[in-house]
Amino acid sequence: MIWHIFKKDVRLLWPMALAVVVTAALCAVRTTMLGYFDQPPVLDRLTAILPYLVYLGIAIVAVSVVHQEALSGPEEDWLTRPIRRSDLAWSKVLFMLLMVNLPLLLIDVAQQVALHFPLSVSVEVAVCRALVVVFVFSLPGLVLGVVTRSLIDAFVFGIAAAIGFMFLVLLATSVVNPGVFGIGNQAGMIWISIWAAGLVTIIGAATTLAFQYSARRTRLARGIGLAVVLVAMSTLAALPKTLTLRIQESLWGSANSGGITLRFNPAYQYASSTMEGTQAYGNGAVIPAAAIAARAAEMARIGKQMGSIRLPVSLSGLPSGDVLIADRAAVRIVSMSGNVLYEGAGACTRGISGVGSACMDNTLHMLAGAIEGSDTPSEQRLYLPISLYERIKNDPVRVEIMYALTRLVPQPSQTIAAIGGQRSLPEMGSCATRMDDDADEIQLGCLTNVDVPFCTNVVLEDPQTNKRNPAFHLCRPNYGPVHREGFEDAVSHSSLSIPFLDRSGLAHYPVGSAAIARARIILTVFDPVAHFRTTVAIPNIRLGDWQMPADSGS
Amino acid sequence: MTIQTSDLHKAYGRHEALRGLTLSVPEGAALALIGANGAGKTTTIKVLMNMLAPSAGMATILGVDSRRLSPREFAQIGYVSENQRMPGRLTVAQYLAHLRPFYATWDQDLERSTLAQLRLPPDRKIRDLSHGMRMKMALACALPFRPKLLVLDEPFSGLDPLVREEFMESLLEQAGAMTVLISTHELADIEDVATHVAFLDDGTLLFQEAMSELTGRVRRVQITLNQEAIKPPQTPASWLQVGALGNVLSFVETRYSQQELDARIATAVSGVRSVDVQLLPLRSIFIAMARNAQRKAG
Repeated sequence: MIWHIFKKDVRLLWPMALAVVVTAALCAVRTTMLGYFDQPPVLDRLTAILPYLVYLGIAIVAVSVVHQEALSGPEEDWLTRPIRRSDLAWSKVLFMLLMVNLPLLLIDVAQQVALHFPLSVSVEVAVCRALVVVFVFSLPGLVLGVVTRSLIDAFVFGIAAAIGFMFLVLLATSVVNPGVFGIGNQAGMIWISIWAAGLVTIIGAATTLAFQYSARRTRLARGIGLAVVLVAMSTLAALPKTLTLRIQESLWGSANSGGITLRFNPAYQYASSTMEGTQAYGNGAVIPAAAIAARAAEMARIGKQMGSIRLPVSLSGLPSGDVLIADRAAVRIVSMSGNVLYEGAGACTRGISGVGSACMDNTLHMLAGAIEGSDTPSEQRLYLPISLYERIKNDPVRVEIMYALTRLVPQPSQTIAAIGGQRSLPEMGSCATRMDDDADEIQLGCLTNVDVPFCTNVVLEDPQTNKRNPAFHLCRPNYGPVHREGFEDAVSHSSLSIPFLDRSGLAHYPVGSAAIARARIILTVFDPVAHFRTTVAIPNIRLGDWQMPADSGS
Repeated sequence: MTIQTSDLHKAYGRHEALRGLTLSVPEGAALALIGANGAGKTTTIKVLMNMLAPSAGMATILGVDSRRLSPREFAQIGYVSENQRMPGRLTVAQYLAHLRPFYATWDQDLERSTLAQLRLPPDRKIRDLSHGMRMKMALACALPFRPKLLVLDEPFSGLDPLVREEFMESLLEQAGAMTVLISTHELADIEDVATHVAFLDDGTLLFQEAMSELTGRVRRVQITLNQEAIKPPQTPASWLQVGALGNVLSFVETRYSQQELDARIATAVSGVRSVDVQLLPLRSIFIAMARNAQRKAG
């Protein structure tokens, strides 16, 4: 009878499903029309809500299809009909898959193929995205449907639950040690927390659905549903970072350091190489100067509330051109008598006016290998609770820094003309370049159906003189097996602005306006090849000697 | 027994809607569940149909625990209620077509004749039907599979006399072949259908018996006296609604037999000139019982 119930629901709900599918198609058209540079901006702004309407629509359809035979309430006619509850549940799942998720998958494939992405990759990407949409929107939508009686009921329940959880998060972050949430985020491994939370959600949602369809006990089902959300949120926010590291390392398998060594090197005090900026790909949104200043002030304030240490370290054995990322730098401070005084991967302080918290991870500057045979200077920043720091800063202590490191190697470089270039770049997608409106930056825009590589070096070069502007190093580690830039659309857009003219006149670029017409962008993608652990031990040190100046907290 | 309940309780928060209800409906019987508003009739039916879970006690329908009713049992149960929520966006014909495959015994000829008899417009959407038509629609969905048990919850509520008549005609055509449980206030309408009566008050069953026994034991009695009638200070427990007007004393005798009545009158009243004993319609019996229950409740 699954098919029979499905057909009845189709007869009743096809306009609603069609509206969602049409909106999704409009989203695909929107991405195609906005092109490489999100132009025109007015279209971008006016249609930015479309992807969210699709997701809202999916949830509404899921709730509505369940409400055709509502489980909550004793007046539904179907309750006294010879209808198997399991048939009913599967018919609803089938409806969502065939009437919503499958058409959306086909739209995704069509969009990618229309943009000349290979069919096999397009299907693979669309299936991945469809699974995400099923688990993130369709399944929770069905759960919301089984514990409510009407759309208004679902809306009210959803809003009330969201507000409740918001208060719970505020309460948790003010009661629980903020370090539980904020320290050791290990950006590249955050996918493990996301997948674990996703798994909890899927199992919990399926359990709630099965329970409510079999037992029809709405209050209890609501309780189960809310508990699932709570557990999923906790998993996402507070899964022990050491556990995620262990999981990631077990997936990587064992690896040795390959001769790479890190050591404390007092000779390099304040002599570290200029820190290479780590930036994220994005839409190039302009951040107001006031916001930047406010953030700097806040960072300085936070810096004063933590013990901030800057230890010079040197790296050897990293092949030239390779990159080393410290995924985690946990420190242990031991007194001369052997007592462990502190262990941690960072420190937290209360946020502005005591609301929320601000946490800083111990960081090792991203290191690029120097010339063979020589050391690369860098520095290790340690953040300690201010009370601990004040207590021990003048005492001799032993410091051990345990690193989890990832080595990345460069792939062959790719080039694209700085102005008017358009080509497909492996790992980057279909890209184009142009000069921005005030003629001081080159914009590189790419459309891709897979994720952009997580570490890329971008440099502007004049091929005639071989001069190069300072490189941009864009790095946002993600070691997950499947990752995408966003899930608004099957095709995502990434952009980067590369300056070549400083209108204030303070900076002079080797590749400036005169050469920009013939300049080209060189992109080098880095792929991870090895992950390993190493420890730097400093047997006797007075931390107060290595305190970071207050104005360099960022 | 087609329906059997034992010490059934149902509470909504602190309010106890059913308090130890023990009820049985024999196979082939048509039991009228009567009682004032809020007596627990609808709650009883919803528990029987597993729409609500009992707080305590047990109910069996067609030999199966009401909490374990499966499609197999529901294929033999027709249910009609004034609160029944059917898919409003389907037409009458579409919904009947939707229900058909769920019932192995669905008789399409009976469906057609029932539709015609009830004068239901097949192409009209359910949400566009009037209240009366919706009730007829519910009946039209409950009869074509020839259920063993038909449960009707306030089926006549808000129906005009013509619709009520059409409803009853359709019901009566099928009634002989099935067990019927009907809760209603419209006692006149079920008098010809009901074989048994159960009287529910404040979640408790006051009595349950065959209709013939009930109508046989309840009589209105008017005693004409030689002198002015005065309500006796002590009356037999079986006398309800005792009243005096002029030289006439009247009451409802609930344990009637001519011999016993004469004995009770002789004990309680003197100067009897004549005694007039009349049969009571179900409605009057219900009112007498209900008022007595209310009086006892205080």
